[in-house]
Formats: sequence, structure tokens, C-alpha cells
Amino acid sequence: MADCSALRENLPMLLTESIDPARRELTHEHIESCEACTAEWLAYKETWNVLDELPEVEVPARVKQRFLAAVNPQAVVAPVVAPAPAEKADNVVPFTRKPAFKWVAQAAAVALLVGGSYFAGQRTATPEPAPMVAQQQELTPARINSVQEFSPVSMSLAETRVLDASTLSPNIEGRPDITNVKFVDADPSDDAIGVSFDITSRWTVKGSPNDKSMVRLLSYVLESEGQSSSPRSDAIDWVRQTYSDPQYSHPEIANALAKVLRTDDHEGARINAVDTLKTLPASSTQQTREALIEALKSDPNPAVRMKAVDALAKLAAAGERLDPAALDMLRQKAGQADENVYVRVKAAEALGNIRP
Amino acid sequence: MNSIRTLSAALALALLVASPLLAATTKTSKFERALPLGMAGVLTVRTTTGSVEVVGVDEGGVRFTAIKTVTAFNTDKEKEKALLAEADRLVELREAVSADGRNALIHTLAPAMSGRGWRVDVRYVVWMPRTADLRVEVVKSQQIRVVNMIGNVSVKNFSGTIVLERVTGVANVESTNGGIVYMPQQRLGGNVTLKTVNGNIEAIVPDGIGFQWAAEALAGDVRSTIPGVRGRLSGPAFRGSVNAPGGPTLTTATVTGNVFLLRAGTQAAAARSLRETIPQAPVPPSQQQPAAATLAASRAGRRDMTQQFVQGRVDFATNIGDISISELRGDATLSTGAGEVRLGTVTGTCRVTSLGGPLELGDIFGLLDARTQAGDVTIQAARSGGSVQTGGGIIRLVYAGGPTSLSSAGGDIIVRQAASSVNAETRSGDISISVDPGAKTQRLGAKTAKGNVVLFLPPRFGADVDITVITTDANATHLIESSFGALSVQREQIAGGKTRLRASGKINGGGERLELFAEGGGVQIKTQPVPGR
Repeated sequence: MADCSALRENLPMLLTESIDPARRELTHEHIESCEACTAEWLAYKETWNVLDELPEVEVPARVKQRFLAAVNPQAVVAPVVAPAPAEKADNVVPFTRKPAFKWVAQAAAVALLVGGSYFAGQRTATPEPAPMVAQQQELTPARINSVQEFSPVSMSLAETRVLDASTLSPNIEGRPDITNVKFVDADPSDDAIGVSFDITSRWTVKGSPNDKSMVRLLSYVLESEGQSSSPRSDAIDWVRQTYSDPQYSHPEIANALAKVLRTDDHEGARINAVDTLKTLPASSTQQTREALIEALKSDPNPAVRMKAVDALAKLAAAGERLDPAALDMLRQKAGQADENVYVRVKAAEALGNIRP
Repeated sequence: MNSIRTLSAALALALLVASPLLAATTKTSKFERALPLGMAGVLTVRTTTGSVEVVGVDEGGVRFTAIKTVTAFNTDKEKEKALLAEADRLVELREAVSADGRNALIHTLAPAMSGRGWRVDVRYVVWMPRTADLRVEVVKSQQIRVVNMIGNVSVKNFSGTIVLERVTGVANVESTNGGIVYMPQQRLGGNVTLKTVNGNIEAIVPDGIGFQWAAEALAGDVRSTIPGVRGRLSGPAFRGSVNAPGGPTLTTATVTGNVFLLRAGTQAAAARSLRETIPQAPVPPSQQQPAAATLAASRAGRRDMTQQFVQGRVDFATNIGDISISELRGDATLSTGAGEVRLGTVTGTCRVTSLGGPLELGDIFGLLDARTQAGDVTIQAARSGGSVQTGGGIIRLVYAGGPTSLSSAGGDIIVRQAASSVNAETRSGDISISVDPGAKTQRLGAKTAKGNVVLFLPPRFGADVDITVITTDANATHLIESSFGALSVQREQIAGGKTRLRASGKINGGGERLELFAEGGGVQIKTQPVPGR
């Protein structure tokens, strides 16, 4: 049996044809001579065929990373310093998304076989409002396409767990690292929106833009810096499209954008944030005004300063009372000889609209 | 005739209806006070609204009269009376003198008046030692007038005219929306600074006195009736001398208004622009405008251009102003020092330069050369390709029909349909390029020093791929993603504790070079969704 366990480790590689010829031959010989391993091999192949039928989904980056690290720690974890040409073969990680997915799928399939009954038992439970991250694993999963929450369906890797924002507590515990954020509007005719993301697995939170949990989640997404794999501006663009509608205006969204404007070192994101602040009906909060003044004062990107002065001018034109700090900053910018002329003129025009 | 009658009747009715709303109750109080102040003391006058007149005299001590007028508005007469009493109580006139007698303060204490249903106006007339220093701060003034002072004078307001008459010492005047008139009536005894954002400045000086003069009217003009003005103009700024070099400096600066330096006895209408009389200093390369446009740009002040349809070539330049042309059948050379440029269709070549402001360009058939020092650039179609640059801002190009180069010093770059080669580079921002669905192969380059690169390619697009990602995450595995297989990734540590990931290979059998670089982000190559599926 010792031979069996050693040779069974080769089965996934045999399946993906990523095994060297000598070991392939040895493994095949063993399978032909061992009844138990033949059964195991057939089960693998059957699972494999089933997996091929499933729709493809993005594998969460962290899961992929952990799996690859477990499979080949040297290739993934240990960085290679200036590889010599002769060593290149060992240092090159095959860059094909699909096999990586399949490996993960295989591992997960095995995990499913073991844990399936446990999950099956959990799936029928009715979810209770819960802290969004800490307890979400206990909530009912459903297929991503169905968006029919909490219906007991068979478990597969092709699914995302869909949660209704109204069933979630708006408190996000800790600072979970959510990645691969996507925005979903499955049915444009209704007012529901959805946010899909990876955390420990794929989750979609669906609900009204006004829902407190949805607002909190989107604010968290905006403020989160862990989205390096997807364009930062996508989230901001999406927020602009959704929350520029006055019925969904929310100061927390504006405050989250203000934070992006103040702290994000990605200039494209800051430009988008200030641009979006201009369009949001509930954008005038103490935090947003301070962020605009700060941006106008010291943002190195002239486009950010231009849009900040435009936003302040818009507030002034709308009759908003600007505090002395805002007025001083507009005055300073209007008279600052080394400032971009457009910014100076816009600052002057903004001041011209103010009636003390 | 009937219509006049109808109009008159409507007007009368409107007045009848509105009359209760226009009614107001007013109360006026007069105060007369005196304060001790030495000939070298400092007087501060601070009020939120009203007017201030300060007259310098040859004796110690301060005397002032103040007329406080409070006005209440309400359709309910009882409420109006209560409001009037409230206003009278809340608006207080105070004065104070420091223990050593060197500082005196005259102060109006008033809460913010907006939405209270009443307003207040305080008119001060102050007599003070002409050798003492004076500080006046008024938020909203009808007028501030300072007469016959030789001590230092500092005046600041938000709106309302400021007049300095026979003030010959050091003076510092700042306004936001008000105009400034300065009439020393004899030679300057110290440096004088007059600054406003949205007002005009008039300095009327006696004939023959000499001083240094620095002037700027960013969106306006600097004009004078004095023939002895000499110096250099650099854009909107002048620096030189009047009549003779040396002496105190008169600094005059406004953003949207005009500056006039007038010889006593002459009128502003007779003043000539310094742009006509003073040579221009060489302009730094970063601020140079296209040569063809220089003549038009020499005209001062804000100048906009709005045209629906133009047949033939257009050369236009303005120092400050917006440019808008809906359709241009010909070539365009357009330039603005600060303003927005909006173009619809341009059938010829299109050269647009802005020193600050967004560019919004439509369907450009000829070669495009669009540059702004700051602002977003949006282009519907660059059919022959070209070059687009911004010193900071987002570049959005819907259709690139020819080889196109896009560069932002900070901001995202988005190309919706690249039917030809595209090279995009940004210092900080994401780059997203969708290749024309019919393209089999074409050269593409994208480089961001901070951000992500996302490329959408047709399923059968062939290319030789070279991807580089620099990251501080030594364990990162998800920063390069491709929907096309057959790429290999190499990883190495580089200086600064960073890791370089390089992915290369051929997709769909290879083709033109596809060179992508991202630092502080990742690279994704995705297949475009097939229409109809």
C-alpha cells in the first residue's frame, strides 16, 4: 500500500499530462496491476470529465496562490534571482490559466467529496442577519446566474454565494482582504445592484443601493487598497453611475470618495473620485469639503486640482456656504502665480459666485 | 396696445401681491465715541457689513460716529417687530483700547445674518492720527475709504470698493470681489500692494513721480496713460518702472479684472494696453503657443470662440477663453492659455493646444495633435491617428483609426476601439485598450508606472507578447492574467525589494509586438465577448 499512496500522488499530473514519461509509465503499470488504484484512477477521470462540463469561473487569486504554493513552493514562493539560462526551465511557471484552474478544481472536488455532506446540511438552513464577513460562510450559497438566493442547490465550483444585503449587518468586522471585485446589474429593470468579490470564496451581495449594508460594502470597496488586480477606477465609475441618481444619494458614499481623494496614491483613482464627487447629489459633507480643499491645496496632479476647484465652484454656485478655509484656499489659488492658469481662473470664478 | 395694457395689469397685480413681502421695518441708531490712541498707535476697524471711512488728522486720539441700521422682513408685523428687536440686540458695536494705549479696536459684533429675516448695516466715520497705523477688515462693504494717512494702512474685504486717497505710506490692500482705487496725490512713501481677484484696480498718480511697477491681470489687461512706463511683459505679468527706475514698488494684481495706471487728470478710457507698448519677454517653452496663433493671442483678456460651422482653415488663439466649433471643414490650429476646447467634426488635420483645460474632440478625420497641460482629453474618433498628451488628466479615445500615441502625466487612459497601433503611457493610472474586433494583429504598447493594464483582444488576435510587472509583493501570482495560453512567466528580485514578473510568448501563433508594463498593479489580457452570444 505504500507504493499505492506514493503513486496516487501522480494521478492528478497523469490526468493533466504534466508528468514526465518515466513516471507516467510507472504509474500506468501500477494502475493496471492494482485494483484499488484502478478504481481511484477511474474516479479521478470521471470527476475530471464532470469538471469539464462545468462553466468556468475565475479562481480567487488567494486560493490559486495558496494552492500553487502547496503544489510547488519553490516556483511560487521563493523568488528567483537572475536565473541563468540553464536554470530557466526550473524557474518558469507554465502560464496557462486553465490548467491552474483545473488543479484547483481537482483539489476542490476532492474537498467537496469529503465536506459535501457537511455543506449539504448547512445549505438548508435559513440565514440570519450576521456580521458581513465573519459569519458569511454559514449562509446559504446559490448559483451566480440564478440570483435566487438561499435555494438549496447542488454544490459546485461554478457557483458564487449570493447574499441579500438586507440580511447582512452593515458592520464589516476587521479589514477583510476582498479582491477581484465585479459589479453586477443582473436586471436593469429593477433597482437592485450586486457586488461580487473573492474573500475565502466567491460572494455576491445583492440589494438596493440604499441598503445600509450595500452602502457600507461599497464604501469599503472604494476605500480598500487591496484591489490591485482590477482597475481602481472601475469601482468609482460604477458608484458614479449608481449614486448620481438623487434617490440613492448617500453621504457615506461621498465620504468614501473623499477618502480616496485624500489618501489614494493612484492618480487616476483620485481624478475619478473628485469627478464623481461633483456629480453626487449628497456630496457636500464636512469631509468632502475638507478633502476638496486639501486636494486643491496640495494634490500634485493638476487635473485633480482643476476638478476640486470645479467642485467647490459648483457648491458655491448652488448657494452652499463655504467656510473661511475654503474661501481662503480659493483666494490663495486665484492669486498663486505658479498655479495652472485654468485653476486660477476657475478659483476666481468660484469666488465671483459667492455672496457673503 | 392691448398687450401693453395686459402687461401693465399683470405688473400691478404682481406688485399688489408682492407688497407685503417687500415691506420691512427699519431702526436706525447713532453712536458717537472717542478713544485714546497715540500718534504711533494702531487702530483696527473690524465689521461684517456696511461702510467705513477713515480720515487721518494731525492730533492724537480716535473719534468715531457709527450709524447702525437694522432692517427686519416679515409679513406678520408682530413677528417683524420681534425680529427687529432681536437684530438690534444681537448686533453690538464695541470699542476697546489696550492698557498701554498703543492699540485701539472698533468692532461690530454680529451673528451670521443669512436666513434670520433681518439684516444690518453699520456706517463708520473715524478720525484718527494720520501717523498711526490702520487696519480695516470688512466682509461685505459698500465702500471703504481711507483718506490722508502716512502711517501703514492695511485694508481687507470680500466685496465692495476700496478707495485710498492721499495715502502715501506703506499700503496693503486685498479684496476678493471688490475694486480698488488708489490716489496718493504725491510721491509714494513706501511699497504699495493692491490685489483683488474679481475687481478692477485703478492707480491714479501725479505726473512725473517715479516708482517701480509690477502688474498682472491674468484674464484681463494692464493699461496705462503714462508714457514713461518701461519694462517687460511676460504673459499677463508686467515688471518695470514708471518715469524713473528705483523707488518704492507699486504692485497691482487682479485675476479677472483690469489694471489701470493713470496719470492724474486722465481717464481710463484713454489708457493703452501695455501689450501694444511694451515688448514681450521670451516665453518659456512650456508656455509657448503655436506660432500661427501668436498674433491673435497677443490680444488681452478673455476671448471665447463659438462657431457652429466653419468652411476652410481656422487659426485661433486666446490667452483665456473657451473654443467651441461644431463642424469644421478644413484644418484647425487652435490654442488657449486656459479654457475648454470642444470640437465636433474636423475634416482636416487638427492641432489643439491648451495650457490648462479639458479637450473634448469629436470626429477628427485628419492627423490629430492634441495637448493640454492639465485636464481630461476625450476624443470620439482619431481616424488618422496622431498624438494626444495631457499634463494630468484622463484620456478617453473611442476610436483610433491610425497609429496613435497617448500620454498622460497622471490619469487613466481608455481606448474603446483600437483599429490601428496604439501606444499608451501614464505615470499613474490604469490603461484599458479594446482592440477592434476585426483586427488580426497590430502593435500595441501600454505602460503605467502605477496602475493596471487591461487589454481586450479578439479571440483570433495574434501577437508576440512581452509583459512586465513590477511589484512589491514577492509572492504575487495573480498580477498577470491572460485568457490566451502559451505564455511563460519568469520572476526575479530587483532593487528596492521589488519583484519583476515577465511573461512572454506567442498568442494565436504570434504577430505584431504587444508590449505591456505595469508597476504597482497588474496586467490582464482578456478575450472580447463575441457579439450575439
